[in-house]
Amino acid sequence: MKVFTRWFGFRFAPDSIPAHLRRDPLAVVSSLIIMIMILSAIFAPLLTSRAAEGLGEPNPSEKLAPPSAAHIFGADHLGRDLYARVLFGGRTALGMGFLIVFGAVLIGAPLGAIAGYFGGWLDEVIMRVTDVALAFPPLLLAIAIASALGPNLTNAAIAIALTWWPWYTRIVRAQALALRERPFIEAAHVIGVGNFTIIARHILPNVLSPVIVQATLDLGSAILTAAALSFLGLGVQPPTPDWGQMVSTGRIYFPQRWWYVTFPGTAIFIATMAFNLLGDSVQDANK
Amino acid sequence: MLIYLLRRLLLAILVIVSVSVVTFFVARVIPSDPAALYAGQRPTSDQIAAARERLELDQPLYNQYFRFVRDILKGDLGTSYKTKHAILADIKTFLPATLELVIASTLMAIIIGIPVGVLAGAKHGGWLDQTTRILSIAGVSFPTFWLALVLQLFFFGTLHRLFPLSSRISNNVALFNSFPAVTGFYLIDTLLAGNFIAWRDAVWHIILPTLTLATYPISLTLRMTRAAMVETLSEKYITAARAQGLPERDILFRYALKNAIVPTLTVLGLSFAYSLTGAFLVEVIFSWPGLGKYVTDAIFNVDFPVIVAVTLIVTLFFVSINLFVDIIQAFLDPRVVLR
Repeated sequence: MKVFTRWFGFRFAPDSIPAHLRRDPLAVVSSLIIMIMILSAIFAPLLTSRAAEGLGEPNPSEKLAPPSAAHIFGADHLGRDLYARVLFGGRTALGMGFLIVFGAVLIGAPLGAIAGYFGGWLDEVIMRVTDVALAFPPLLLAIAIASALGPNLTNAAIAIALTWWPWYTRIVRAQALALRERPFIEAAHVIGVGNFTIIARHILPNVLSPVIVQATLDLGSAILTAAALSFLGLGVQPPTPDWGQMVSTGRIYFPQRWWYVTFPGTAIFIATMAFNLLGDSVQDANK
Repeated sequence: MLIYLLRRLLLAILVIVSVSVVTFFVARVIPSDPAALYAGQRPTSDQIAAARERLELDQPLYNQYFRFVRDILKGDLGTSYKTKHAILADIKTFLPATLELVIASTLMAIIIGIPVGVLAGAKHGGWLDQTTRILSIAGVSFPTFWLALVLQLFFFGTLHRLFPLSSRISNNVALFNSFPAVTGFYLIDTLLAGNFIAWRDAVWHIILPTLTLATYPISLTLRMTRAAMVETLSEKYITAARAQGLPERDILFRYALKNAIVPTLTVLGLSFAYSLTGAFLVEVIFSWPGLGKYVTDAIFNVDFPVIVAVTLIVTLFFVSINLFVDIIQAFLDPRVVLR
């Protein structure tokens, strides 16, 4: 899912972003959507009177109720209000997204810093491993790992992060290569600071901003991939609210109870689209 | 050039070896007890011990790995825990269905993505460029499985059952207009048999799944072609061609496209490889009897050998396609060798 954002060969200069983005209406709209999503995930319990149903408590008397004033998105097969489920599902989706990207950065960034800083055979080995890791079909590898580890939220995040880290290794390595030649690194070296202290204290903090920007843009693909795993039954397990898993369950009642798959599916789409749109605008602004 | 190709080949081999290691670990090391899985539901301890011996789990790990590789090289991908079928035979029946779907959607990406991308790139910033920008970002943001459901709702519900919702062929057609399986590709097999009723039925069945699967590669191809066209059109030889008064259509499709097509080819190869796994989700929804359906059933039954074998086969495809694309690219644009 990541190819899309990767194929435009962009570089980041975060300082120049805001001014350009303000001129791009799509960037403004997508940032707004993302902010609303994050806020509604945080304040989910305040935005619905049926928070318990959102978290999984069944309500059998209103099984599969169609959308109405009481249930604006309808109700699911256990009678739970779908609006509340989708709202709380946003927590899972964003949480999964952060977890995946964070995990990938945690593996990828130090490797990239080591490769770029030391160079030589270490660089060669790490980059070949990265090439190999990129040559795996990501979704399938995630499927295999997630099914071996056992299906749950954390394992799905681990499985996806394991297919994702090489991108960060590449970004960080390129940055570290350039940083290595800078006077302040040389100065640290001369006064006898150890290599690993230099990497931890001076290299990593300085590559943080492009990594953070990239990580934010990757959230869309992360959410989409996590939803796909959940849809296959390898991700989040009920009763935890999750969009992919809701579409998967709702499919049984489709198309007669169309609302069950429509609202969670639309939520996945909007979340992914918002991050991808923002990513596209950031790339444009950097050209 | 030769060194470049050798490097690529070496990398491909390295990938295949590491795939065998990774899949081995996924199959034999991570699961808590493969023997218990093999022995079936509620096994006795004797049954588990027997299974352990049969699967050679009592051997040292490196021995197990070499046996695993040896079996694969002999063409033995193992047997399913659940059905006890030979997995290779299963894959031979399921793979063509997946390939048929993936090839059809890649063709669609070429037919739609390239021309529209050329036109969007020609008027950089124009209305077509703006519209296709939003559409193609939407195209890569759709959860495949949900898009499939939306298309089903639209074409089946609203448009009065225009397209069938599942499987590769209608039951009555398969029964009364049967055709021999030669290639496993229904669109080809029906033509070989001269069976046009079945051919039309197969086409009707493949349209919705292809449309779903193609959304992602179409968007990708379109954006890539557009970006490459914008770049190529700013070259001096294009200005020269314009100054000579050549018709715009010739400039776009004959001179510019020839150079802009190289990155697009790379993306097409990549998206073909991605579609192999993307097809899994589509197959589940359309009950398309391909590898995806096979592997999701295996996930449901915790049938590791099947999951591992499919991972291995698809990765082989993935790696070969990437290698193929690299080679083609090196021939089309010798500059890539120098990078």
